[in-house]
Amino acid sequence: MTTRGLIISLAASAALLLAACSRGGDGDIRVEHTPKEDAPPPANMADQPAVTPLPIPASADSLPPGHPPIASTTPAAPSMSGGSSMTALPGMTEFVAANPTPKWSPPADWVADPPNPVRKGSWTIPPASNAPAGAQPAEISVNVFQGQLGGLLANVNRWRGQVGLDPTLTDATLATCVASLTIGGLPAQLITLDGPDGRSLEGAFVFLPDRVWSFRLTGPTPVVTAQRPAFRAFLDSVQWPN
Amino acid sequence: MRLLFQFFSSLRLTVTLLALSMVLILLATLDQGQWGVYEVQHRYFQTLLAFWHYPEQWPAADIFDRITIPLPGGFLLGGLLIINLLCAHFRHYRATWDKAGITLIHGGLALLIISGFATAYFQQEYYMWLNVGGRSNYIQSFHDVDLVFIDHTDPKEDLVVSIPSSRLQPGATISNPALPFTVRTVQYYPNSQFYLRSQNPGAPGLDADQGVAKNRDLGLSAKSYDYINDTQNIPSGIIAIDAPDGPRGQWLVSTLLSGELIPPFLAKDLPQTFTVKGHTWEVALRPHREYLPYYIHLDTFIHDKYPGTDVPRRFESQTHLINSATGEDRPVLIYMNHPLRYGGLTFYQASFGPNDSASMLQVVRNPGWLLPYFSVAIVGFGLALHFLLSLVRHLREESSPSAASSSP
Repeated sequence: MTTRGLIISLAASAALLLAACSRGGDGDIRVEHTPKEDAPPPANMADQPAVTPLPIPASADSLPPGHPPIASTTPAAPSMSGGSSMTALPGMTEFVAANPTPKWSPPADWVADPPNPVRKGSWTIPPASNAPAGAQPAEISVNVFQGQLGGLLANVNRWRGQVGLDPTLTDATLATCVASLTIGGLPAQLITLDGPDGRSLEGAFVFLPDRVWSFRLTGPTPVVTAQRPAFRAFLDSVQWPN
Repeated sequence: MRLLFQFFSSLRLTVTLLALSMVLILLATLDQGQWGVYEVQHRYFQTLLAFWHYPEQWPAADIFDRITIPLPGGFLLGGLLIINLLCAHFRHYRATWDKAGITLIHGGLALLIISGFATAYFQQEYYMWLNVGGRSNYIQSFHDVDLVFIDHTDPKEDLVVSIPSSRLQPGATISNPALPFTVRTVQYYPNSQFYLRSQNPGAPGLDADQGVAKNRDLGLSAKSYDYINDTQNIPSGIIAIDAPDGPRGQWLVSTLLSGELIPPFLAKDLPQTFTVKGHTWEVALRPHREYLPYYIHLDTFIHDKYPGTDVPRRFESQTHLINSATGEDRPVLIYMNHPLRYGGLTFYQASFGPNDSASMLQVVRNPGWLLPYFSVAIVGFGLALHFLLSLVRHLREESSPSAASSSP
C-alpha cells in the first residue's frame, strides 16, 4: 500500500504538472478561410490602448506643421466614429472626459451635434437656404488636449494650412494673425485667418500648464465672416468650472 | 521508500504547503500593483518556481533592490498538495462507513486542485465587440497579437494568414505555403509610441517606405511595456516583404492602425495593401482572432439607470444567435450573471460603447468550468456526511448502558 500509494500520487501529480506546463501551439501560423467582414464596431474608449503623449493633430483634415501634402489614390477609410469628422486617438477620450465642460451660451442658430467623446462642444451652421448648391456648412468645435500640442506657433501654422494659407509663420510674424484676449478670465490667443480658396477660420487657444483648450470656427469665408461677432460673444460667455 | 511515504503523507507537510501558499498569494498580491493581474498570474501561479523582487517603489529600494526570494510557484505547490493529499489518503484510509465523509472531503479537495490545473491549461479569455444592429463571428484576444495577411481576391470569402507576434523576432524571416512572398521582421516593439519627427528633432525616423509610412513625418520608438494597463499597449513593428519578382518594401504595422482609433491623417492610406501574382494582399497587426462558425447579432443594448440618477440599474444585450450550419436563429439575452453558453464558449456582458451604441462581451473558453462546482459540492456533502456520522456515533455512545451507568 505504501509504495503503490506513493507511486500513484507521484504519477498523478506529474501528469497534472506536465499537462499544465505543456500548453503550447501559440507559435503556429494559422491559415483560414473566413466570411467577408462586416464594418468594424466602434471603440469603447476605456478599453482601447492609451495614446502616446506627443502631439498628433486631431482634426480630420489636419497634417503636422510643415508636412508636405500627401497624394493618395486610395479611397478614404470609412469613418468609424458614427458620423463625427474626428476620430479619437487612444486615451484621448479618457482625458477629455476627465475635464469638466465649461458653461457657455452658444447662439441659437448653431445646431448642436450629437455628443462626441473627443470634443467638449460641437456645433454646425448649416448652409443658408439661399446658398448655392453644394455649399459647405460651418463648424464650431471646442477641444481640450493634453500637453501643449506643440505650442501656439505650430498650431497657428497648422490652422493656416487648413485654410490654404502658407504654414510658414515664424515667431516674428505670428502677431500678424494673433491677438490676445481673455476667455473666462484666462489669457487666450485669438487667431483670425482668411484663406485664398474661400475658407476661413476664427479660433482661440487657452494654454494651461498641462493642457490646451481650443475653440475653432471654420467654414466658407462668408459664413465665418458673418459669424465672427457671434463666435466672439460665445467666447465671452465661457465660464470655467471650479 | 517508507520514510518518503511518511514524509509525503504527513500533516506537517500539509500545513507547510498551505503556509507557503499564503505567502505566495501575499507576495503576488503585493506585486500586482507593479505587474498587473495577467503578468502576476504567469509569474507566481502558472509556474513551478516564482521569484519575488524587492519593489522599486518601496522605501530604500536602492539598498534592498537586490533582495530576491525564490518561492515554490503555484504549479509546484499544487502538485505537492495533490501528492500529500493522495499519500495521506492511502496512509490513513480505512474502508469503513464512518470514514466515508472524510473520503468524500479528500476527493472533493483533490478535484478542486485538479480543476486549478485544468483551468491553467484550458482556459482562454477573449472579447467580442458588437455594434447595435451589427453582428460578429469572431472573438479577439486581450493580450495576443497577430500579424495578418488577408487575400480579398475571392468575392465570397477572405484568405487570412495569421502569424503570432511571438514569431516577429528582428531579423527573422517567415514563409508559409499560403503566402507567395516571405516576411522579414525589421523591428518589433511590444509597446511603442509614435511622434512627429518635425517636432522631435534628433529622434529616430521610421525605417518604412510603404503604406502609411510613405512620405510621412512619422517616427516610431519603443516604449516600456505597461503591465498594469496591459490591454492599452500599442504593439508596432516594421516588416519587409519580399516576393519572387522583387521586394515590396518595408511596412509599418501597428495595432494603432488596425483598431477603431486610427489617427485621421493616416486613415487615408488604410488598409495597407500590395499585389503579388495578381492577388492583392492586406497587411495589418491586430489582436489575435478566433473565428466562430456562427454569428451573434446585437439587436439592441439596454442601459437602464435608476430614475433621477446616473447610477446604472442594468445592462442587457438583446442578441440573436445565428448558426447557418444548424439552422439556429434564436433570440438570446445576455446580462450580468446571465451569460450565453454556446459551443464551448461563455459570453458575459462586460462593457459597452459610447452612447450605448455597442456592447462588449467577454468570452471565456474553459471546459473545466464545472469542476470547482462539483468539488465544492462533494466537499460540502462530505462535511455534512462526516458531521452526521459523528453525531450519530456520539448520540449512540451517550445513550448506551455503559454511558448511563457512568453518569453522576
